[in-house]
Amino acid sequence: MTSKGKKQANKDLISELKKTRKKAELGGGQDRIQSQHKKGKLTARERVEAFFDQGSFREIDALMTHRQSDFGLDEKKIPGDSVVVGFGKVNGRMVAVFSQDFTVMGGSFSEVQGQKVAKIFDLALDSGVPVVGLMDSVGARIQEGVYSLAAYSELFWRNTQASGVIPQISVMLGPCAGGSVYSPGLTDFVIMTRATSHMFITGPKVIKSVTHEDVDLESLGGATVHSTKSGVAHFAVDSEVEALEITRKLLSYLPSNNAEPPPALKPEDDPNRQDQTLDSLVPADPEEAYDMRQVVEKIFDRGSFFPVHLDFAPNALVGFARLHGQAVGVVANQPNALAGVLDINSSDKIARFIRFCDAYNFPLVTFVDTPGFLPGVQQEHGGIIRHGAKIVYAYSEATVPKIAIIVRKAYGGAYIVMSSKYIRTDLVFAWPTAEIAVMGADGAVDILYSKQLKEVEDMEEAREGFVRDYQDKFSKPYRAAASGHVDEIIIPSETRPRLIASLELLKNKQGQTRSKKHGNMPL
Amino acid sequence: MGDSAQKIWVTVDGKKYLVEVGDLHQRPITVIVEGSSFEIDLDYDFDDTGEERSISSDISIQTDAPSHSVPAGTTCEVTAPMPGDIVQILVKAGQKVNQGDPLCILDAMKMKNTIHAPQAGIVSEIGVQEGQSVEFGVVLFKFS
Repeated sequence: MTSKGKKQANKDLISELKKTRKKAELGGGQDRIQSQHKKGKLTARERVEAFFDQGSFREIDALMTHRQSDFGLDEKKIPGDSVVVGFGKVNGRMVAVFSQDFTVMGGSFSEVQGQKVAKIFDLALDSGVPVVGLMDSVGARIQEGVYSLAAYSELFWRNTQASGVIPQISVMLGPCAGGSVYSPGLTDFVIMTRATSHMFITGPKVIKSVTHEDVDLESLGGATVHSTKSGVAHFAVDSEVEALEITRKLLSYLPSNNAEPPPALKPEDDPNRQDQTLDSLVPADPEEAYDMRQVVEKIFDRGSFFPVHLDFAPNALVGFARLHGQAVGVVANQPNALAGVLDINSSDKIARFIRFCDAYNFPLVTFVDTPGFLPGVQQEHGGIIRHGAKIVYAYSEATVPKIAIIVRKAYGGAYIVMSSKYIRTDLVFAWPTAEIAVMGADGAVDILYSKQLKEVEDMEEAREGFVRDYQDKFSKPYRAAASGHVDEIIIPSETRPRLIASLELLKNKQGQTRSKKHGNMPL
Repeated sequence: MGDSAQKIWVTVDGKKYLVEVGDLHQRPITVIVEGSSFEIDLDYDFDDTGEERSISSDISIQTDAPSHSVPAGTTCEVTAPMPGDIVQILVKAGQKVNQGDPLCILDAMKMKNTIHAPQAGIVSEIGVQEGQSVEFGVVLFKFS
């Protein structure tokens, strides 16, 4: 062949590839793309482009096709099949992605989709890079039978293997029903769009035929339900763009893998800033509520608090924040909701967040103001014992730096589980408003003085005296400080510089874990 | 509908409906469900013993356009989130509230907890009184 002929041959080869790429990029075709847009949804590729730093996405397996022929599948071979996979950068850091393509057979989970997702997952896991799934799929590809089931089981297995090694985020942008919900269910964070995304094991029709309950898609498995009632979703947003934005923001706090510390930003806030309004934020009347979020916002770097699971179990507040640029995990009781009690849902919320923080090297800062565990038959029968135990387990197991601030109420078992000294919290501070006791003064007096109260003439007066005595002893933190159960009593406005100094001390803390296969956390 | 109307809540397949029942001594009985009027003829009257409760009804015709007595929109209940004592009720029946408005103060778990309106609407019924102890789940307010 002449050199001119060779050049022409190369040109042809390249133009052939370009043509094939074009075809792959169209996914299920122009009509399907239009119908996707009509639903207010972006296509799999548009989402990926919107998600990553501009121009950074690199696709792999764009030309993979299925090899099935049953039910006319051989007529429907689309390069890339029903998922787009690859990697790209988010704020300059590498992230792997798989984006289900609804325009190709409803994004159904085929054997090939499974193989593509497995490949990108393995690459991410070996390289210590987070995985984000952009989910929009009708579920298993029915025409493929067991091949499809096997494929998404492989994903579940990888979700589990990767748990605690690389952060995993599921962004729900369409339907996710049946068995396939267990992949997002296994990941660290779930983000859902309102109105367009739904998650459930069985849909409204099956529910109607089995239990005769009438329920629509949105009230069964919409973003609002999962972010408030079930706790399946950590974030609910109104649009796909918001969902991708919040995912990028979340990633900005997370390390790429468990061997790295969370990324530190250049500090912009004054480390010695002392917000004097903190000194009067907790109401003098211990029965009056206040917003714990304000406490958090005033202490951490300005604007850095990023709440997670905000609308689920609002009596607890968890999220990421920065202290002098360093990302930390924040856990707090919220007296503004249900008096800040610990109940089943808040226990689950707190414990899961602590375990994420411990797995990915986030120091834990805990703010305590809880009257205790919520009494009631419903809570007891719902298993508050095993759910509440998760908090103790998670804190006790965590080897990252742990700091607690007792803001106000720290009663009974709830005091112990909320990052007390005894579950190896490195530093426990108390504000002067702290109350550390087995129970409230009224209840304690009724038990301690039941005999005396019966014998006195003016029972009410005697009772008030006893209550005052008990309060003097325990409604102040001095007894706990005198015995070292609290490491220091601090003025609220001193909290920020105190925390920053404490984190510096604990920066290289080496926590010890006994060698074992794994613990048996109460689930 | 006149003063003799009674308001009752009826649950059908898990969905709650506010039903206004007119004079029970009249035939047919007029009821308003979600703003629509219905006339009901009873096959037989209530048993005096009060034990026979099942009635078969024949819903005849819808008599008029949506009534003004039931405001449009969904109805909802606010229940006690914790066991405790109602210290103060901050709204009156018939009062219009916005989402997040304080409805009452519940003394529970060593704290005076403000119960807020989960959505905007009109308080149609107050199920508790000041000073009353409530269990978890007790209906405090109904509103539409």
